[in-house]
Amino acid sequence: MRLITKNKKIASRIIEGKAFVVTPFDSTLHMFNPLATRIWQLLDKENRIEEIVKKICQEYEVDEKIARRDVNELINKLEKKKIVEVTDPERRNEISKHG
Amino acid sequence: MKLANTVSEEIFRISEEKNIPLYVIFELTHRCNLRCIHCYLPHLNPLPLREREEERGRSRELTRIEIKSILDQLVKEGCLHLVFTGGEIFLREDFYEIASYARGKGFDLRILTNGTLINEQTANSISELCPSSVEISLYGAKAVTHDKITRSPGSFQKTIKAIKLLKKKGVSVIIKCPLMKQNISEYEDLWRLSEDLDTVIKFDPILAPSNNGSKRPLTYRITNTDLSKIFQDKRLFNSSLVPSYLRQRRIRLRWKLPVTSNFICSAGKNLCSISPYGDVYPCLQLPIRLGDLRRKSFNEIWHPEKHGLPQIKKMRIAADKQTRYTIDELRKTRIEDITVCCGCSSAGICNRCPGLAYLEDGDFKGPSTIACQVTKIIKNTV
Repeated sequence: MRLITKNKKIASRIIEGKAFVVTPFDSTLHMFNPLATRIWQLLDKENRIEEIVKKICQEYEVDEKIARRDVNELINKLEKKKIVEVTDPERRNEISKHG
Repeated sequence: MKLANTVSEEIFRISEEKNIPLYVIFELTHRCNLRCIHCYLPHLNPLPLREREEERGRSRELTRIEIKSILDQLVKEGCLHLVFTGGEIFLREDFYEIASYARGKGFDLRILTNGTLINEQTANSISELCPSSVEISLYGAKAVTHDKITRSPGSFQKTIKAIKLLKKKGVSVIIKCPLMKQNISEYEDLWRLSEDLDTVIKFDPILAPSNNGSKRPLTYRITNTDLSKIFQDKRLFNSSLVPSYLRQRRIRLRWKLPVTSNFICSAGKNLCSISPYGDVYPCLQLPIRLGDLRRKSFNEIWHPEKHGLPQIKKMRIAADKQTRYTIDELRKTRIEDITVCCGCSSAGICNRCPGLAYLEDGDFKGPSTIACQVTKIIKNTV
């Protein structure tokens, strides 16, 4: 189970319904679309993908499979850009058991 | 779900349209350990009197609790880009507490300093803050030139040391260099020095008057001949760091692109500055006082119409200025209101700064001597 947390080093604001995020490592400004903005807001309270998918399904008329795919896609993109940090405690435990 | 790549224009457009203070320049102190000859902050002379003046200023400065409360308000208003500047900000003992608080509130932070108080430990702390950039003032490629301008022997060595320390810690450093008669002969050496330090350098060839209207700093401005030489330097225009009024106009002229008049800026629309004493201004360079954060909330000052408050009628302005404006007038000013300039044949390539027009010529809706001068030079050099 992956846990998602916002990178504390990034800067962000939600302006007129859109999230604007600055990655200070490369001084780049990113703009999120409305759904990505909603996920970004949910990350303030939730850090598990399953919970986020559940909330998105409740708020939007969307199939769970599609929602999960979209959320995962976004999280992967954000992780690559160091906007969020993804940890997997189970995997970490596995590694420590066998490592 | 896609992340947009080009968003600067979008956020600028939204914030200007909705008067969201996206960019805030926060002066944390006017105290400084250097005595730069061209400083825009009005100070008493002779120098010994300044010590007492600064001490008085210190007691009036916003406390860290007041600053935190203002930062909280700015979060609600939508401010994203925050600049901490001085004076010399590292003279504030609570700087890291304030800056850490700002980072925790999700501001994109830029720090302006002379670097002289930065050591190994402070460089570490700055690195942990993860600012977008630390901008350090450097006035010469040689110690003797820099120290003469700062009137502080040894300041060059300290500033260079700070740049190296910050670079070592992986902090993005930008050297800021106002060009003046005293350092123009070292222009090439400054380029080389910035390369040696593996950093970028941002030149500004136009000095501004002091914020009290004193034109003393203008006596150090470089000559028109030197300005012409500078404008012919391709490196300056290739860099994204030069002032936009230089870069954009030249590029547009060179490529014969449509040029538009740009007499109005975003000061008071999506940009403002806050003094160490809580006064709000449309810009650091446009000292029209909009309100006092010790008496009113930011929202009351920035959106007086929402609170049923009368627009500020009387504003404290530089002693020799006659014209008074409200924030509403600032925001509603159109190109046609700049009556003297809008009929000018060079209007299309002029990038007049309302703040400079105000400080130097007395009216932010009037022509700007330096803009006319620069426009003429650009026309002749391109």
